[in-house]
Amino acid sequence: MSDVSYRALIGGCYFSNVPNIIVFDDHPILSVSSFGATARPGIYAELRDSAGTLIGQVENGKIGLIDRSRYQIHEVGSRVSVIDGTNGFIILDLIQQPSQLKLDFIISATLHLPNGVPIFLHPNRIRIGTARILKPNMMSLCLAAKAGQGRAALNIELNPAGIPQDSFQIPRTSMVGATPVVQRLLNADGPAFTEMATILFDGKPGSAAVNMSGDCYLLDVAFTDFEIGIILHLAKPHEAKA
Amino acid sequence: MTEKPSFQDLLEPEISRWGQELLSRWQQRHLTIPRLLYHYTTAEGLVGILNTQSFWMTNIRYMNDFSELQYATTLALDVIATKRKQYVGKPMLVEFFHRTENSVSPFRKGNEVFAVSFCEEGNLLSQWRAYGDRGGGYAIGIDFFHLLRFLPRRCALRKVIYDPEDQQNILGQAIDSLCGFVEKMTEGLDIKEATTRNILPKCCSVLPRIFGEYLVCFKHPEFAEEKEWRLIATMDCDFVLNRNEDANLLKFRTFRGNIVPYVEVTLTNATAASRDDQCGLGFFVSEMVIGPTLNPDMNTDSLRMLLGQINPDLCPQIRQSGIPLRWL
Repeated sequence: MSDVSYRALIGGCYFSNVPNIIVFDDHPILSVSSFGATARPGIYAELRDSAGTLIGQVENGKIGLIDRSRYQIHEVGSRVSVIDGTNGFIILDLIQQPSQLKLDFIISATLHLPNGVPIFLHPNRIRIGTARILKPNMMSLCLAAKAGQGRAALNIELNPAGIPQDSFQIPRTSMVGATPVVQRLLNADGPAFTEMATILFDGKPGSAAVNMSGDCYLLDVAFTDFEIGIILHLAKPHEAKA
Repeated sequence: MTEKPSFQDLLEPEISRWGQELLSRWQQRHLTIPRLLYHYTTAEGLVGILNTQSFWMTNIRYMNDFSELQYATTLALDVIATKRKQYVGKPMLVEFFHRTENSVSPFRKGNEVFAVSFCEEGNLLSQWRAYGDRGGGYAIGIDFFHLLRFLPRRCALRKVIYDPEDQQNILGQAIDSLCGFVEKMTEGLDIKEATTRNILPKCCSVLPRIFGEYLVCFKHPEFAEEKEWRLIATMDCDFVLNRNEDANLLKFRTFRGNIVPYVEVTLTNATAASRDDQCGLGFFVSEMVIGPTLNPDMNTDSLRMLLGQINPDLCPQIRQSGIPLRWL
């Protein structure tokens, strides 16, 4: 169980009490920490371009940009966005304390690893890697950890070919019926579990609830009480699959 | 030798600068857009919006609540009358008021205003009663923050102001500011000279434009519960004089024996952008609310299918109103 308490929509997926949202080779790419006397969750992120070059950082929700001529900050009220001036793409969209929802924040972003691998936290879905995957590898699923026993929810081994392997396919209809998991959790005040579509993880410390390889597409997935949401690492050359 | 700029050359940028300052203060009021704004419609309207991925912006003179717009015009005339008394000792300003008092209506023929309405609340009983179509009402929740950039025609999102004191202050401050500007620009001139130099006519033409912006955002305080926002576009519909305007953009529908002009604002660019991972724009429908109906579960299923057909990379948030409203 993490020591940071929050509820958020990140890339259209639901995260609750997960301090490290995305980690690459033990290095946090997107994380949440409690900050100050109020212990309000603060967001930390690295913003990189498609070449992996650092273009800015988010520290406790405040954005610092290196190149202000190309990337622009639009801030109105509790919402702040970074936009690429050359093509209008939204690099980061952060809403703190969104009205109409019992959430601490909503984030969508296009992040890149130092090696340039993209992580699309799109407002409606999460995609990791460059492959154009048509069907979600994982959808309408709640990944939850028992107290103190959940290191990572998803362990993804990125291979150079970017082809998804060993995909974890969850058919939506048979698992959850009509109402998506995230929608159920947004309307719930209590613990973040759904009756049918939950993998409750109580595995060995250091392990992950789900192991995947290749690029990845997540739709309507919830992460609750893990130390790390998504841990990414590159396959070693001799392990990489064609 | 460089030729000295004429007074006319100096006047235009001065008026433009003054107008921009006033408008930018006004626009500040409308910057904080709620995360979602809801458009209430019937089942027929909803299917039309989703299938065509467009909204119809109705000519504001033909909207249901036109009486509310007449309220705004009356309010403006009252404020002008009050201000006119205040400046009675200044002949230039008396002339200015005389020339402008009949031109403040934003509903003049020619330069037409088109609008579509949204509410801050997605589950309002009064809206279900008005738009519910006896059990077939829906509210479409839209996140406009980035969406506005993807609309093909220039539109402005404006928050409706209901507080009469606030409304009077906005109008009064604009008049005071304009009067100060007129005095500055006509200093040392008499009315005839200010007219022949085109200063007074130019200044007079500014007030209707400024008031046109304001008045479409004013409503009677009784409607404050609606917390309305309006997506607004203008079009010069005097096609006899203005041959450049694309007349084909103006469309017509019928409603209870009336011929109602409207323009379409399409969201197809935004939908295409939302399919692109890199763009970062979400699907334009962020949430759907199903109003009081006999078949909420059936309509939830069909709506999910319809939204999935338009955008399969989506797990739409659909909620049911839950308000126990019965249609007898």
